[in-house]
Amino acid sequence: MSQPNVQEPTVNSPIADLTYRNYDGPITSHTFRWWVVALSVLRTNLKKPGFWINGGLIVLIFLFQALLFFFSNNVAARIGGGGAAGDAPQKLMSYGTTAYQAISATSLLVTIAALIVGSGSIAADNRANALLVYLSKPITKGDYLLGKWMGVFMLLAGLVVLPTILLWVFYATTYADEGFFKQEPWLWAKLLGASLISPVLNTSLMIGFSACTKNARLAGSLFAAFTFILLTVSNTAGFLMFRNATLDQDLGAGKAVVRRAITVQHISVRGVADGLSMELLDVDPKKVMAGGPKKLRKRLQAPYPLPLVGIGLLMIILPIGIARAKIRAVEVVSG
Amino acid sequence: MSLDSTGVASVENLTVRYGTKTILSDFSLVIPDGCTGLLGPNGAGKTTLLKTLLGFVSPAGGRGQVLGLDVATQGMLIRQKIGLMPEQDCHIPGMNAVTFVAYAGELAGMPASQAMRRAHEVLEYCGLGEARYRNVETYSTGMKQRIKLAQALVHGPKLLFLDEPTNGLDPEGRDQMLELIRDVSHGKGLSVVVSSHLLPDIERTCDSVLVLRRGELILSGPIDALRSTTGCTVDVELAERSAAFGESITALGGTVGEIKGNRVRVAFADGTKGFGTLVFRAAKLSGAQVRGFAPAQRSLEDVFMEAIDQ
Repeated sequence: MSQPNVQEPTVNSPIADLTYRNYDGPITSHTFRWWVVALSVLRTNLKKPGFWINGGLIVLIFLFQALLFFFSNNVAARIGGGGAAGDAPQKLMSYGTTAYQAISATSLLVTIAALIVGSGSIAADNRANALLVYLSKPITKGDYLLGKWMGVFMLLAGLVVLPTILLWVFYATTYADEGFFKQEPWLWAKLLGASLISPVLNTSLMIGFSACTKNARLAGSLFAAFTFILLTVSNTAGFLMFRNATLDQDLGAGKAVVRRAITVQHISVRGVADGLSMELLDVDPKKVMAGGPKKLRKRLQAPYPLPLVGIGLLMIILPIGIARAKIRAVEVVSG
Repeated sequence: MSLDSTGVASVENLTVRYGTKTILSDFSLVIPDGCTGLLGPNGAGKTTLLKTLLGFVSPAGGRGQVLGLDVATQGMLIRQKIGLMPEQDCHIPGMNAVTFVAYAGELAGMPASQAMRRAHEVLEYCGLGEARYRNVETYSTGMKQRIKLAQALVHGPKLLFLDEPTNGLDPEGRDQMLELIRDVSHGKGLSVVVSSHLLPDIERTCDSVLVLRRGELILSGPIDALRSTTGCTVDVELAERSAAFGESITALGGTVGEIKGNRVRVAFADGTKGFGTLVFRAAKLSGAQVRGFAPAQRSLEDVFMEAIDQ
């Protein structure tokens, strides 16, 4: 019988004493045990090229919007002749609108990034029975779930928040002498809020789908299908309602009917993020919603924010609740 | 019965149900210090008992304690002090062995640097020193069993639960695993509970045993005590096999039990005086040569089968 390494130190071994000793070193507080899980999610996903490609594309989108803003304002200043002495030149686009357009344009990339970093977050653990390892240690289901959620969220948020901060720095450094801080003292907070909506929604949904399966690809497919189908259905239904409502408006129907139709059009992951960002950044929908006949565009309104907040909360709470119910160290056989 | 605080763990009137199926019913036991074997046929409730002690399963009734901590309310503190080597293959996907074991240590609250240092030590101890930078997913079954043991040991538990630790191992791997279990459970300040349905594994590693059948405790105690026989039963070793020796024993009022090669189990009625002399007399009568004899010990298999058949 060949012996195990029990009490048999070998000359080649880097550790001279191979006998078992108990650990009597320090133990960290339980309060931030979730951070260990989150850190592991970060470490694993930061190695994925797909994540960085997404990040690069998002930076390019922000760069494009910043350049567009810069040149459009130069044009505006030239056309307007710079206005009266000491006045800030009239801008074609507001700071908030430009930021909104950049954030909105990245929503598909955030969804793709969620697929890359989040689809296997819990599904892969389910497949490898890793929950037995996690839950046999002194961490709770809540710690595990919070760690996974925070890990995915920080990655997605990083993709949007960092370019958003850079955009704000661009505004601040370029337009400080044109009264930027006076006009938009709270823009930084509004930008931060707007840039976090899409990562929060995508993280929660992805974690929910991931917890339901043992297969990362299946989790990703379900998430993608849910996002795409909801977007298509809400857009189609909302557009039809909007069209009918605008026709009715010709016949005297109220603006509320139109706004309701636009709200229905926003019942999707992207729609909720766009709708709430629009509200937060005080964006005029007529300036950002492209396409459609001019007659219809004139009647565009921002969606009702409260229903979107409700739907957004549902998209956060429901998947997290499902994930929590699905996370178990043992398979429970009923019946 | 009140909860026994002398053992490392105990349960009292424990009932565990999965849905409508009752796995453990009004179940009580005390797990003593040292290395304890949890024996029973498949479906006896061994794994369920371990999972209940870990706080994975909420009991429908009764109570339990592990290392003086209440199972129902102090699950986190219990898991700080115990290590679990599960029956199923389990690992964290995408990690090499040293990262995995260090991560398990960090999950148990060890600072990252300490966890990494300890991971290297434990992997060396478990015989995975050479393979520590390989992805766990590429490991053989034997290596996967070892890494499960390493992740259970990394944070220095006071009590170790090993669920079928030799599952899927070849004879050499099994020997090495049993050697590790034997080593870790003796003189290291660590109590071990080995759940298995393989009697030789338990016999080789454990000091005491708990036998379960269909969710009930049917036998418990130190293995040596359970294996010892009552009355005047001895194992006689003859120079060579002899049928005449058996006949002589019968003629002298004894009975001949199991014969293995030239070893004969001989029993006399309780209270028989000078049964050693009777053995030699039987040898003289039959012309057999006695090489030696000793008080008989039953195998753990005999004990187990007897308990199961009752």
